[in-house]
Amino acid sequence: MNLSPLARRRLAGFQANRRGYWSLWIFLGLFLFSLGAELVANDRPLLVRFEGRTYFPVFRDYPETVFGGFLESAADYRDPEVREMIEERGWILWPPVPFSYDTINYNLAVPAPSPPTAENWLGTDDQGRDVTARLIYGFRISVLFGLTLTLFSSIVGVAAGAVQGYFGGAVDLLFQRFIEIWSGLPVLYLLIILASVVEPNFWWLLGLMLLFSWMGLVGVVRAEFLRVRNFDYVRAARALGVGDRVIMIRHILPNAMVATLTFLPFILNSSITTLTALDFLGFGLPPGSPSLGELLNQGKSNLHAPWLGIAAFTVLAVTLSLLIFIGEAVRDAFDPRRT
Amino acid sequence: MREPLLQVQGLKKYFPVKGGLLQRRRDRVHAVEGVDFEIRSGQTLSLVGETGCGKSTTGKLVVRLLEPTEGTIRFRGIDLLTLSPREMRNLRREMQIIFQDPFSSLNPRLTIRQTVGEPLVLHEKGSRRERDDKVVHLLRKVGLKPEDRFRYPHEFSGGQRQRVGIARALALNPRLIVADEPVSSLDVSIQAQVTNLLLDLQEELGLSYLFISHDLGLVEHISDEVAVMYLGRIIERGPARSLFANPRHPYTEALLDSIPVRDPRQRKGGHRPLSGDVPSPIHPPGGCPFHPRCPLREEICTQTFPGLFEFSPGHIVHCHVRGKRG
Repeated sequence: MNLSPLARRRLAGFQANRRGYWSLWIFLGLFLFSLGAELVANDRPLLVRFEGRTYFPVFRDYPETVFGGFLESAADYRDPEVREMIEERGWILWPPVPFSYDTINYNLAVPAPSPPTAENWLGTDDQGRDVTARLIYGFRISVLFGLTLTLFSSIVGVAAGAVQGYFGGAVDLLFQRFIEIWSGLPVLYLLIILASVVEPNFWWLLGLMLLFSWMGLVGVVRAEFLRVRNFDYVRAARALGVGDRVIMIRHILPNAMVATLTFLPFILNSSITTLTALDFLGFGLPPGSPSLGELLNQGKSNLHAPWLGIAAFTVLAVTLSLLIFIGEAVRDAFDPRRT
Repeated sequence: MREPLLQVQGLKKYFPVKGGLLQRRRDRVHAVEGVDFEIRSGQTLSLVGETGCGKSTTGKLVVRLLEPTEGTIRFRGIDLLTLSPREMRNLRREMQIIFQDPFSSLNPRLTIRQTVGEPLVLHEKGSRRERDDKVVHLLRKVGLKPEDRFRYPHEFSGGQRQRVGIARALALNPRLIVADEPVSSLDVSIQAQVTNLLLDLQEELGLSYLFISHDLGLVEHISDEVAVMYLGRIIERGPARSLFANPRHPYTEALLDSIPVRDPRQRKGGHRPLSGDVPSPIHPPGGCPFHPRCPLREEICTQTFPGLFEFSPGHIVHCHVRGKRG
């Protein structure tokens, strides 16, 4: 890889922080693992061998008639009859967790929520859905949501900060006052009100939260632009007739990226927290979606089933801690006093 | 006589001093207070003066990095201040600026090729190949090696960086270069090299320089004309030889007197340093701005700014006392 000496020193600084470095790998591992959630926790077999032919029900729907049934609809592999039919003339390979996040286990020995068993490793929730599966999918949706929100709020925040810092003067003054007012709004209440007006789905929630989350980066980016816009090389570019937009992107933005990058893990962290809070209160993702907040809420209302709360808490705590550790390592690596 | 390349008249620049609750303008810094000068094609005009006298501001006004408060700037007879942004952008090709600090004037994240090539991308249509050839050509011209174009600014010394800055300024074949103390942050030995480079380029390309400096010895060596600034005004201007041999304004005299001589016994007359400090440009003294420190002060000096007195052709001074006697 072709890296500048400074970038190399920063990378070394990041690696020197062992906790952050390993946190990054663990987090990446968990995230990649959860991206393949369908292969890990699913109510369809990975592989079906039937009459000498191979089927991949994870990726495709096969009508029941393929396996000798009489229904034209997609085969339900959890149905004992279907299973028997297939196993007579072939075999089934199940994923390690044979439940998806919305699979209801009807064969529970005790009423839901049922405690951990060999079948449901972490028990089931109050609707008989497997907690392990819900955690895996819930982790994935939380992180994906957080990443998307972080991406969009960085774009908006960097653009807003850049415009303010670069043009300064009245633009800066008005924009700053606007941000002060906007950030003074009680975000959670507004989100609750807005979320009760519209039927929230993933993208709606993302938009609503973006309304308030973009402000995190404005300050640092603005400060950096205010500082760099008076550097001689910016003046030289202006004297050459380079346009404002090119100066902002090519000459000033790279300076602001360091500060931005340092903030990203923390923004990701707060995005996940906010989503969980909304889910916990019941104003988040639509009912039925796998969600850590919703699981926490179940844990609260089913104190006699501690595995719900403990499982959700552990996953959340580990995720957030890993992100904080990564953030700290990034911050140290970019610290100008060290590199 | 041919029309001058650059003609500046009554140029003024005030900076607001803000403060208080609503950032209202409370005062203003009189950075440039009515400056007139001309530069002819292929000639060098030097602006000299103490720190804070407005010489750098004047340079930045000329290339319109700052907007003047008042006055006109004519370049090839075209009034720059009435141009649309597009026309101005086209005219920028012909006037460039070299900065004092070679460490802050190059973007540390761009290679030399990107830095020097940026104006070419902007103003010239040509293939990447042609642009690259031009960059090589420019680097050769300022005494750098072609392979230097792939390196970053931090890999160069101060003098080399200043050469890169010069190459960037030359990229569009300008006719006027504002050199804002181009050598004052370099080592003395390097100063001579860079100065000679500037002189060679002037000869080769017919450039005009607005040379801003506080190094009088250097200015004497390179200028056709010299203008001395004090508190935002030009108080004396004339051909370099005439001005250095025959300074008329008491401030110019004091400045020239302050040039160190190798042998103290050769110093003409006694050394009489000026008393007092430069007054604040926020509240400049009325009348002649130099009057609080002037050894020749008379009553009239505190009341009006002296008009222009021409001693020899082209050598003018703004001084009541010297004007009368002259």
